[in-house]
Amino acid sequence: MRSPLIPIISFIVCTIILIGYFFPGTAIAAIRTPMLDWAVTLSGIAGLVAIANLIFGVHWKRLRDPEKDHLFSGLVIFSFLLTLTAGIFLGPNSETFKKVVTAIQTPIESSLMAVLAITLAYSSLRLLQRQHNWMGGFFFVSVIVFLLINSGIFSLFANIPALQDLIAGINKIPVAGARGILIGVALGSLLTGIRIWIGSDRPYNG
Amino acid sequence: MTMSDIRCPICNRSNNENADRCWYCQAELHPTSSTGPQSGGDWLDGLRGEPEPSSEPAASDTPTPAPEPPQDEVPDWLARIRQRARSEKGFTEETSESTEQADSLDSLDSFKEFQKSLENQPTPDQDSSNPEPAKDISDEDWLTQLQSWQDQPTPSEPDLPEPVQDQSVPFKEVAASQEATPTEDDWLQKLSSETVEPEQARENDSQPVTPEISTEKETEDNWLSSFKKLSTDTDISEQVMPAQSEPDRTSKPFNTGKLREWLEEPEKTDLPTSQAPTEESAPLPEKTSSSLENASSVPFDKKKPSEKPAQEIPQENNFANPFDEKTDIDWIKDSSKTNEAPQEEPIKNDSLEPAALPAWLQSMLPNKKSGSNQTPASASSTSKYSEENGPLAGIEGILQGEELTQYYSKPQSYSGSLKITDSQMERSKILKAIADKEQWVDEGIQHKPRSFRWVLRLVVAVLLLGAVIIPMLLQNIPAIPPSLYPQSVINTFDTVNGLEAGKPVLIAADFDSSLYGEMNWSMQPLLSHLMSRNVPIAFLSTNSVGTTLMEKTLTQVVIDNPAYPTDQLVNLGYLPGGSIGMQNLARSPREAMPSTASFSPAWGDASPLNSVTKLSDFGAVIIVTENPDTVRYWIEQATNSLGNTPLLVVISAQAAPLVAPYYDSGQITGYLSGLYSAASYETLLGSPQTANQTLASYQAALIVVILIILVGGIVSLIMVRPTANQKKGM
Amino acid sequence: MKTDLIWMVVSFVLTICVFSYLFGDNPLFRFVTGLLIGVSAGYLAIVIIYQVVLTRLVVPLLQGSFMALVPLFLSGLLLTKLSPKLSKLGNLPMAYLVGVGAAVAIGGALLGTLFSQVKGAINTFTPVATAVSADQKWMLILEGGFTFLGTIASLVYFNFTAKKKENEAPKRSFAVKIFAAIGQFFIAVTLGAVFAGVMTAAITALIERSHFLITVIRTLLGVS
Repeated sequence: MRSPLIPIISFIVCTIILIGYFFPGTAIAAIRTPMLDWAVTLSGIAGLVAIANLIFGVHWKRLRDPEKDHLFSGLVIFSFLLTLTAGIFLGPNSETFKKVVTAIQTPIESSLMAVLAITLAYSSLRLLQRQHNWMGGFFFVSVIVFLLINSGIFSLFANIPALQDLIAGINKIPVAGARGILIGVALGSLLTGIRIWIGSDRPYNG
Repeated sequence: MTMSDIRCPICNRSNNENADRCWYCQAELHPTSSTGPQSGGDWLDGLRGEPEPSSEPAASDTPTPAPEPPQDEVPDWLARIRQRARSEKGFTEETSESTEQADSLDSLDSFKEFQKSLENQPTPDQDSSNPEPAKDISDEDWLTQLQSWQDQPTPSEPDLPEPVQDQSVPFKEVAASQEATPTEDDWLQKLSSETVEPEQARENDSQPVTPEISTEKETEDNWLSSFKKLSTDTDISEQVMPAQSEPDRTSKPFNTGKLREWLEEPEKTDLPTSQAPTEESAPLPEKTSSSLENASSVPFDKKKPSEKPAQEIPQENNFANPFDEKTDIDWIKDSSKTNEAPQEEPIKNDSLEPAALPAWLQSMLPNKKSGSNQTPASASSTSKYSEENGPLAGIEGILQGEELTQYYSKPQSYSGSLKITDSQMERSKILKAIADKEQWVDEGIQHKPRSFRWVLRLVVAVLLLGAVIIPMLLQNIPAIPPSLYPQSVINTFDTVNGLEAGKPVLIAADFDSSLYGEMNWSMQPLLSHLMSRNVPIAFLSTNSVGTTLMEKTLTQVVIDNPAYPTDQLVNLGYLPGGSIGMQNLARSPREAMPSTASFSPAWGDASPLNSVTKLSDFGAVIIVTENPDTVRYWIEQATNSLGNTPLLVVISAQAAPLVAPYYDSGQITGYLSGLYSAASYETLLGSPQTANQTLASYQAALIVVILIILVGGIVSLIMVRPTANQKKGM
Repeated sequence: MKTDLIWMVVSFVLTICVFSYLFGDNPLFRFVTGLLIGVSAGYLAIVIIYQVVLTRLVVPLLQGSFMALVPLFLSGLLLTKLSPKLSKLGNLPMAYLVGVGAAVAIGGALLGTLFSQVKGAINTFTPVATAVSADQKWMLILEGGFTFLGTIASLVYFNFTAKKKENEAPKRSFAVKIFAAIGQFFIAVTLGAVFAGVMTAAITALIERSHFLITVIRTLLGVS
C-alpha cells in the first residue's frame, strides 16, 4: 500500500497557496511567499534533472547500444559538453557564450521555421482533398480570407467605408470561437488542478 | 338404498343392481343355478353331501318355514346344516331341491329371527316367517351336533380350521340368549351399525360400500358380517355368548382378541371379511379353491390365501364351535395374527386406488428423499429445498431464510488484465475493418510518384523564395502600405504615448529562437517608441534564451536610438518556474528577481527600478511571446496585481486569434501581431523601418501562398470527386 | 569584427544546412539537429546553474539564510530521480511542485480566464448603450448577439455528453446538435484564422532567413 504522506503534503501545499490566492491579506500569505520561492528553485532544479536525463539517460545509453545511431547521440553529448564547458569557463554573460544562442541556436531554429513555411505551402495544395465537407469548405475559405487580411491587401480599398467594418466584423468570428476555446481550456485546467488537489490524480508517483 | 340397488340374499346388504356378486359377502346376487352342495375338498362338503333324512319332528322352537330365499343366496353348507338339523330334530327331509331350498329357507328364517333378536331392531323386511329363535333347542342338543360334526373327517383340507358347526343353531341360541340379556346386544348392535371399513375400500366399485345393515334380509351370512363388526369393538365373548352354559364353551364363544382381528378389514383379499363362513352355497363348488380360500383367509388368516388352504371352511363334522374360545382354530389364530396390521392401515389395500391429490397438496407433502445437506445456492435454484426445522419443516419449495446468511463467500477478485471475449474480438475486428475503410479515400486519390511530389515541393519552394527574394533584391517593387490600422495597434500606440516619463516598463521576453525574426521585427517599433520617450526598460524571461535575444534586439534598437541611455536597460535575467514564477513575480518583483543577470542588485538606488516595489508600479507591462499560452499565464497571474498598469502584448501572427478575446474583454490594452501590425505601428510612428522594408516580400509571399492554396483547392475539386464515405462525413 | 564574421558564416552554414532539407533528409540536416539539441541543453544547464542554483541556493546559504535549507533538501531529493533505485525519494519534492502548480493553475484559471471571459461575453452588448442611432443600436445588438451565440455554440460543440437509450447508440439532443453545428462553423473559422496566422509567421521567418542569407552573401561579396 502506498504511503499517504506524499498526497497529504501535496494537498496541504495546494491548500495554503489557494488560501493565499483568494485571501491575500491573511497570515497564510506570509507562509505562501517562501513556499513559492522554494517552488521556483525546485523548478530550476527540475530542469537540471531533465537535462541530465536527456544526456545521460537517453543519449548516453544510445551511445552504448550497438544497434542505435552512435553519431547522432555522440554529437549531442559532445555539443552539450562543449557548451557546458564553455559556459562554465566563459560565464553566461559572456558575449562569446551568448553567440551560442544567437549564432547557432537561433539560425537553426529560424531556418527550421522557414522550411516549415514551404512545407505548409506545399501541404496547402491538398487542403480540400481530405475534407470534402462543409467544415472543410469553411476552413478553406477562412484561411484565404485571413491571409488576405494579414497581408494588408485590403488597404488598397481603404476608401470603401464599409470595408473596415466588414473586416472588423469578420475578425469577430474567430474572437467568438477563440473565447469558447479559452473558456473550455480554463475549465479543463480548473478541473485538472482540483483533481490533483484532492488527490484523484497523482502525477508525482513516478 | 336406491331403487337400482339390490339386496344381497345372504348378508342383506345393498348392492349395485349391475353387480353379479355381493360386495360384502361375494354371494351371487342373481343365482341361476341351484345352490346345491358342491363336491369339493372343503369342510363344507360334509354339510353338503349328507342330507340326513330326519323324521324328527321339528322342535317347537324351530322356526316356522320362512319364505324361501332364492337358491343362489343360500350356501350349500348352510342348507345342509339346516337340513341336518331338521333331520335330527324330526324334520322331514326333503331330498329334492325344493326340500333343500325349504331347509335353506327355514334356516334363513331362523337366522333372521335370531338376528332380529340380536339386533333388537325392527326390520321392515322382517320375515314374518322368522320364527322364534331357537329357544327350544337346548344347549346340549346343538353341542352334540357340533360334536358329531367334529367326528366326521374333513374331506380334503388338511389344515382346515375347525368348522363352524351348525351355525344356525348357535345363532338361534344366541339369539335366545341375547334376548334375555340386553347388554349383550351391544356387540350385535355394533355389528349392525358399524361399517366395515375394509369393505368400503373394496376393489369392486360396483358394489356399494354402504355400512347399512341389511335389515331386510337376515340371512345366515349376516352373522359373519356381524362377527366382522365385533372385531372392531369390545370383547366379543362378552357380547355374544354370555349365557352359554356349555362348559367346554366359555362365555366367550369367540376368541375375542383374535376374532376381532380377523373380522376387521382383510387386506389381501377382495372378499369381505365375513365371507368365510358365509360362502354362498351355489357357487360354492366354484369357490372352493378360490373364493373360499380367500374368504377364509380374510377373516381368519390375514396371510396369503395361498398359504392357508386349510383355512377353508371345514366340513360339517369338523366344524368347531366358533363361539368356543378355547377351540384351537388355526384359521382364527392365524387370522388374528395378521389382522393387526389392517386395523392400523385399513385404507391400504392393493385394490384401492390412490386418491387424486391436487398438485398443490402433493407439492407440500414432505419429501423424505430431500436431504438436509442442501446448500442455499442449490436449494434456491430448485424448488426442492425443504426446511428441516421450524414450522415449515418438511415442506418443499419454500424460500430459504437464515441459512443464506451463514454462507459467506470471498469477494470476487477482478483481474487487472484485459479479458476479451470472442464476441468482443469480433466486434473489434468489425470496427477495425470500418476504420480501415478510411483508407479508401486514398484509393480515390491517384498517388503521384515520389519524384513528382519532390518536384512539386521544389516548385513551391522556388515560388516562395522567389516571392521573398526578388523584392529584396530589386527593392523597387512597391508594397501596399498599411492604411487600415487595426484598433489594437492604435491602442498600443496610444498607450505608449501615454506612459509617464521615467516610469519603467517591464518587458517579459518570453519568445523562442524559432520566431525570433518575426518577434524582432514586431517589437522593434515598440521599443523604438519607448526609447524615444526615454522610458526605462526592465526585461526578464521565463525561458533561458529570452533575455539573450532581447538583448540582441535592444542592441539593434539602441543603435537606431543613440540618445537613449543604455543604463536604463535592466536585465533581470531568467525567471524559472513558468506560471509559478509569474505568480511569485506578481506577488513581489523584488523578491522574485533580487538581482540582475550580471549578479548586480536590480532594485538599488542607482537602478532605474528603485521606485518599483510591486508590479503595479511599472508604467506598463509588455509581454513579447509567440505562444498564446504564455499570454494566458501572464494574464491569469499578473492581472490582479497590475491594477491600472496597462498590459500590452507583442505577439506572433499565429497566436493573434487566441489573444484577441483577452483584448476584447479588456484584459489587454493593446497588442501587435505580426509584421503587418509592426508596419502599421511604424507608419503611425512616422519612421518606416525594417517592417516596411520587408513588407513587399511579405505581401508577395502571402499572395503566392494564397494562389497556391486556391489552385490546389480548385484542382482538388475538379480532379478528385467525393466518394460515398466522404459524403457521409458532411 | 572577425569573430562576428565567423559567427556570421557559422550561422550562414547552419542555415544552408537546414535549407538542404528541401531536397530531402540528409546528413547535414541531421548534424544540425543534433547540434541544436546539445547546444540548447548546454546553454539551459548553464543558465540554471548560474541563475538558479547559485543565486537562489548557494548565495543565500553563504549569507546564512536557513530558509534556503528547505529548497536545498528538496533539491537533493529531486536529484535522486536520476537513479532508478532512489527515484521514490524524489516523489516528495515532485508532490510539492505539483501541489503548488495545481494551486496556481486553479487560481489563475478561475480568476484570470473564466470570470473575465464570461464577463467579456456578456459585455458584447455593452456598446449598445452608447449607440448613437437606432440603426447603430440594432447593428450593435446583432453583432453582440452573433458573438455571444458563437461563444456559446463553440462551448457546446465540445460537449459530447449524450443520453444512451436501450438498443440505441448514444445521441445528443436536437438542441445540442443545432448548437454544435453552429459552433462547428465558428471553430472552423477560428482554426482557419489560426492556420493563416501560422502561415504568416512561417512566411515571416522565411523572409527573415532569406534576408539574412542575402545580407551574408552581400557581406561576403562586399556588396552593399
